[in-house]
Amino acid sequence: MTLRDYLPVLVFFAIGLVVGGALLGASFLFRRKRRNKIKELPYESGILATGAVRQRFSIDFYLTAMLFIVFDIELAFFYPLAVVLKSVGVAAVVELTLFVVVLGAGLAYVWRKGALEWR
Amino acid sequence: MNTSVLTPFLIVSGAGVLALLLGVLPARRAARMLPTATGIVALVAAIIMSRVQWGGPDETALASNYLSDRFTLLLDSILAVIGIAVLLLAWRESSSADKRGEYAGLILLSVAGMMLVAAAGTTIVLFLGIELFSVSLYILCALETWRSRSLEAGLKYLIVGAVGSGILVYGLALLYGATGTTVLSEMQHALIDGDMLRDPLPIAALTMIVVGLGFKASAVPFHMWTPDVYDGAPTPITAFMATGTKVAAFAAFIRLFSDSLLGMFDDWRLPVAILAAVTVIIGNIAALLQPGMKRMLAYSGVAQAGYLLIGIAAGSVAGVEAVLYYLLAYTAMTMAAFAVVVMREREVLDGDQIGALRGIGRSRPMMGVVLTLAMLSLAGFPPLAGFIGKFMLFGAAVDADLTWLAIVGAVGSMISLGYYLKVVAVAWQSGPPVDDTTYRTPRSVTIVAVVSAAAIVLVALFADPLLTLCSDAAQGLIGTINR
Amino acid sequence: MNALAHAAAVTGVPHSSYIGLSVLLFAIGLFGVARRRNPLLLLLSVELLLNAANVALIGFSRYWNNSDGQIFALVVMVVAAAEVVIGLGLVVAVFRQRRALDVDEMTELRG
Repeated sequence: MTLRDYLPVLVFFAIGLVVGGALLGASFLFRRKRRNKIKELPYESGILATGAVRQRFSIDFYLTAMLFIVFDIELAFFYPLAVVLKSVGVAAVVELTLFVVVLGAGLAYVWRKGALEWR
Repeated sequence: MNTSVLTPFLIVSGAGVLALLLGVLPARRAARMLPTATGIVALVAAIIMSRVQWGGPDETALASNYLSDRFTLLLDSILAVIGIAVLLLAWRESSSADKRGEYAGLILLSVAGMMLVAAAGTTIVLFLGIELFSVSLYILCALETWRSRSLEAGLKYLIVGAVGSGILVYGLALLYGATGTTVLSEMQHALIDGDMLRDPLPIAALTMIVVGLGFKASAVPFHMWTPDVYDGAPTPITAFMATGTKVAAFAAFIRLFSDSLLGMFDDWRLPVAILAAVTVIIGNIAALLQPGMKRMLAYSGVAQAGYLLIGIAAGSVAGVEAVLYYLLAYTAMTMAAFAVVVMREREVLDGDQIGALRGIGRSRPMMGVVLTLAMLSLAGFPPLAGFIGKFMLFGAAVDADLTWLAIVGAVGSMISLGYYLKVVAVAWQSGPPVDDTTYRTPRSVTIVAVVSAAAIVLVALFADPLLTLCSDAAQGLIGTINR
Repeated sequence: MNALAHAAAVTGVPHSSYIGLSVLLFAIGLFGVARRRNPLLLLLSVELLLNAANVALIGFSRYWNNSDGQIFALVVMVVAAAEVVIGLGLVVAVFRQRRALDVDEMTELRG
């Protein structure tokens, strides 16, 4: 595997960039430019939007979502272990148990800190 | 395979999790005392365990992911000592009152990560260790959540650190692509067998790894984050970053460059040497211009990383030996300097400014002596530890036909006299001392300061046995590959 | 079905495509890190860097026909999640404190 093997990749992306750029550029150059108030609306033929676009979320959503990401990703380790559990044997079970204990410690910490409560 | 060699790492990481839990105990008194106590006990136990294992043969555990050789054991001890010192420095930190669990737990997890770097047998574990200590440090930096400077430091460190990690892991991925293995000890043969030594792929990998580790070791030009983050973080944590991160980053450098990639010496020698030279020069010049003690020490840390890189660039047993010895000395002198800053910061407003140290030698001779020893040793005054370390580093460079690099290092040390001696002069200056409150210095901080200062002298006094220790550790590494 | 997709269906995705994709992702990530000033977008770019490494690892794992790369990729995934969660936590904390999300406005620590 040498660097020359990557040359087709480079050419591929170069072609992609050129073609994509050319198409977008052409439509930019040749399209009709007609602007009016109705055309600029978010929904040209729909109901007018009301209220502020940027609604503020409660911080609790972020907190819960972040905790979810952490615990969710840890599951990535369970799956491969489940696949090889039979061939590895007891060691795998011990390691999995340790892993779950550490995760449980994390959960206990989060719980005691009150991060699971919805304020 | 022998799982018992994992004990130093397991004790420290287990204690880290435990300390976090102890910190949220309902009993407030217990929640305040226990985490730090657990941490100190665990770190002492880790030191004892690495001492016990010292004489034994090299072992691998967890399918060659974890190496337990003398290099690992030596660094485990150094890191555990750093951990104890930082726990003591943070003991009475005002911010830690209701966050003892987090402080102690994250410091312990961070130390565990650094130990993992030292013991890494595969690039996977190397990366995991680096991330474990980095991620813990991001939080530690931002732990004073009410202080925007602390939050800012944490966020900046996280973003810069994550970019460094991203580049590093990409380099490690390319290295895996070039060799087909993540096991460090097999890379050499894989590169030779595949006739890849001069191939662009491993060279690209090498470049990215140097950049990634350069971020962690704060080598110029990847050092921009260092002064800001050092300045904003709680001072005990700054002391931790200055010492622990440096040790861990150079452990990674040694494991990768001085051991598994030594076959590519011709490829990485010049870039690393240039990196070292630039780091020494820029770090020292920038340090001259800093009014703040923490920022000055940050740039001085950058310059010190440059000296250490000189030892890596030498690519020899003598070079690695010198790096290990200098890490010992560097840890002692940096810890001593930061202990004085921690103390002063609690006593006066803007205590992290150099001006705040005015007359400290007269009002409190002991602290003055500690500070003077630290500064003189950092500057490389004979016969202190810093001098011996630099002497070894420059000597290794000369032996490796890098005389120009040794000269750059010497010039850098000369420049550094400008700012180190300034601090000494300010400390012994007469005149009205900066308003001294009646605040009593916590005994834990005094202990760290005095012990670190004593260590500066002892590391120099017992240079011979310590150097034997370091060369044992270095030979265990490089002995496996004959150049 | 165009020629490229056809080739892929017959022989599997060629190794060079993995590397090409990962190099492109890495380049986009680096570009983002250099250009963006919003911490959230910076985190996004960092995520791209790490995922570029993941794609490369998986591709190389297939090329060498061993599982080292896949294990590495799993570890990188988890590390990335931890990093991003801490990053988001810090961003929220900073935002609560000062409502400005631009690293150039963080001038309290002069660089």
